[in-house]
Amino acid sequence: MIPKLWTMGSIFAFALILAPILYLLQYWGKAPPDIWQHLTQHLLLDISLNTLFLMFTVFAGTFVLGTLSGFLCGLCVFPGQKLFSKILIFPLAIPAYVFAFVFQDFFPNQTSAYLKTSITFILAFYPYVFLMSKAGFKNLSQSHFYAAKSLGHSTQKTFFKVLLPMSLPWILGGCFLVLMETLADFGTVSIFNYATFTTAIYSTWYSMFSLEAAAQLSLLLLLYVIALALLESHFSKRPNATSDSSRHTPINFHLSKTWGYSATLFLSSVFSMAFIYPCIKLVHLSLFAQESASQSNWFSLAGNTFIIAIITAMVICLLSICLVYFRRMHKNWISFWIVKIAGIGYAIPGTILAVAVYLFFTSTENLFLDFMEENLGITLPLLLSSSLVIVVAGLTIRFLSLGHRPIENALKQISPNLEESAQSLGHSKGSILKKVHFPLMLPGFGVAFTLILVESIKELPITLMTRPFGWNTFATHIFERTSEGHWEEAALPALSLVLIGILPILFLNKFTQND
Amino acid sequence: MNKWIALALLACTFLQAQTLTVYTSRKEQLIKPVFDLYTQTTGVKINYFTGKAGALYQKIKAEGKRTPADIFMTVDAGNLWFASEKGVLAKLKSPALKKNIPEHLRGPKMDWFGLSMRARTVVYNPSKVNSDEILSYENLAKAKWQGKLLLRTSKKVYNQSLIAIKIQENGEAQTEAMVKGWVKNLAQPVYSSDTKLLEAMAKGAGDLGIVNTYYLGRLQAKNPDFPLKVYWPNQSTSGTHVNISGAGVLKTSKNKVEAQKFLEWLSQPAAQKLFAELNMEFPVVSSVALHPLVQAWGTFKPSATSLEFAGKNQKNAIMLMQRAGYK
Repeated sequence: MIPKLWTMGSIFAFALILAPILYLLQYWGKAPPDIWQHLTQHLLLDISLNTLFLMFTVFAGTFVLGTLSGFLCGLCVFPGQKLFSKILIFPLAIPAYVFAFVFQDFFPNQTSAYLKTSITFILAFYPYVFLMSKAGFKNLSQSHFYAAKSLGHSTQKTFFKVLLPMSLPWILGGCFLVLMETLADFGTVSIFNYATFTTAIYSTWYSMFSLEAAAQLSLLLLLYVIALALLESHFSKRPNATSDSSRHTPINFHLSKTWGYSATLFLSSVFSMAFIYPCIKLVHLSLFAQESASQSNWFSLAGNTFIIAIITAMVICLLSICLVYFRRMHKNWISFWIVKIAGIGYAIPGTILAVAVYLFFTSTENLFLDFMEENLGITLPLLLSSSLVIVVAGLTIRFLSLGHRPIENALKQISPNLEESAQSLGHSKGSILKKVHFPLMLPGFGVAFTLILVESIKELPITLMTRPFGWNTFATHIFERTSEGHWEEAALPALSLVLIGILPILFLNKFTQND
Repeated sequence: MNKWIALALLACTFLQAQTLTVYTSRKEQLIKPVFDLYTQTTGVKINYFTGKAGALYQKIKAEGKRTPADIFMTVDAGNLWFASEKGVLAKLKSPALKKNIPEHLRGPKMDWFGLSMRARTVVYNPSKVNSDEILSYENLAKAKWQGKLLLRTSKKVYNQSLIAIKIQENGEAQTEAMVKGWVKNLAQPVYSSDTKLLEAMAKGAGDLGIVNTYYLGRLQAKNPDFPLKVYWPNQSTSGTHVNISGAGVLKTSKNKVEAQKFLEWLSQPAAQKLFAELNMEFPVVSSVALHPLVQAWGTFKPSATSLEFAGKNQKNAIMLMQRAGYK
């Protein structure tokens, strides 16, 4: 019974994601020839190169910054280490589009758009790599370190030859999330006027009025994503982790006074740039706001924001459990692809995903209602679009891979021996799940749930298009103000959004502090 | 029995008629006071859903005949033209709208209507530029402005409309030469917002640029000593470029009569004043008093080219700008 449930859940997740993508696929080849010819002649090469350069720089930047800070907080002892390992993920609460509008005055006028965009992305996205690499480093045991040392390697060499490669799957997992976010972003690149795939998608749709050409470009972008996903699964064949935590003694490098204070100084400056500066700037901007924020409005915005986020997080956690067990029980290429494709939504530009999801659901509902009307004479209004169903479906498609990952990692850490011994003690599969797996996976759930909360709170394009009437969130409230250049009026809602985004992050810290 | 059902249905239609639903890309803070005023005056409640015009259009299309929307409202003519082209908007027989809204500011099929004008004009730094030398948009392509001009990105619809109208007035070849000249004259890489452009100009990054007036208005309202001035180009030729913020009634609307009444009300002086003033724009009805700040910029002759062409030529305008290297 239970195995069937996993399969059904997985197929549901797979179908949920595939439906809107297939819906987009119907536009393939339908782009008006003059637009498509113009795109290939004047734009495609430029935007492909721009996108590649950006991805490469952001990858390199977040890799170095995320790994270094993860290494310091995960393996070293220095003044402030405990504090930094908690606060360095705070920037996750700030949406990239808020980063961009905060940083637009920061750079000198002549700075290239490429540099501005890269730096903003690195500051906004490094916490993903930090979070993952710290977990990877913490997972290393002293035995790894001493084994290498006993073979006569220097500490430095041990780090580069043993510790770093062992944590690489985690680090690359984080980088993968960063690259997906980079590919999907629109807000930042448009504020800095850097032409990428997403800006081209938007301008063909919104300005040249061709959703067909935009969909065709999005499908090309999906090729990037699939290539990335394959690369990632190639590099992240994780060594099956140690579950005998009884013998796990984490490594602690005690840094010398000079190195210790240098680390403190370095991480303080990273944190100041990526979190303190944006917050101060928002406070400063909000002083010039003319709109008065009413309290009741604030609570309704906060409530709306949280309700969508919590429902989405629950749905994603449930689907993720199905996917990981389905994969654990059926190790074949079918399950591999089902799981891979289920995660693809993370890199589709939000607006395209929004329109695909909305068009798919609404036209399906319309077909159903037409049928009811013609055959049964029952006239009904559109119900899905006035409920939270479509917005939750859209966010689930977008963030499924984000929730799936930590739950998958948690399950991977449970060795099959544990299952066998429980079975030999006469426990059924269901009771093994309840009594053995779930408790061990709890931190994984915690991470997944809170990450999705953080992301859903920040999400804009899907919420904007698919929310029911009058359902305003902080993100849509910010959009209203920034899109007409009212930065000052956007500052207060942006601060509120950061504030409520910090709440789940504090929980995230709880789940990831395994010491 | 049947009588009761009929009565209930009547009550339903009556209740429904008391509510209008607007899909709008004009932002909440710039439109809600207008909706509130209408509700106060007539008792008709207005629901609204904000978003980007392209997305709202797709939403209307996907919802088909069951869409709750009665009115589609945008901040440029291009999107209204496109909706009209696709047959989404209803043709209205309204003498009031015909009389109140100038011909070039509404759809030729009477299915969309400009409700406020937004002038995209030249703003300059008077300490560096003698305003008599500015003359026209076309003139800004001349070599004497090299290293002095500031522009916003060609990705913004306001620039796309300007070029689309120029294509109509001057032809493609001449317009492309003009845009190439502008790009050569740029003092800085293009900006992503008018406000940033103006702030940079005030700090001396360039001498003059092309912006929508209300952005300058906002900066002047905050700082009366803001050092830049408005110039109205093309006064002896085609007139200064204007776009509109406007709306149309949907064919699928179940409240067409009420929706038309609302648009007619919007073209009345009281609503016109509020609608334009909220964003320091120009009313489409010329008899309405202007915001004092706006009035201080002086009167001007707007271009009389039909805004239909802002939509019709928009695609070609974008391709032209991309060919000309205007990012």
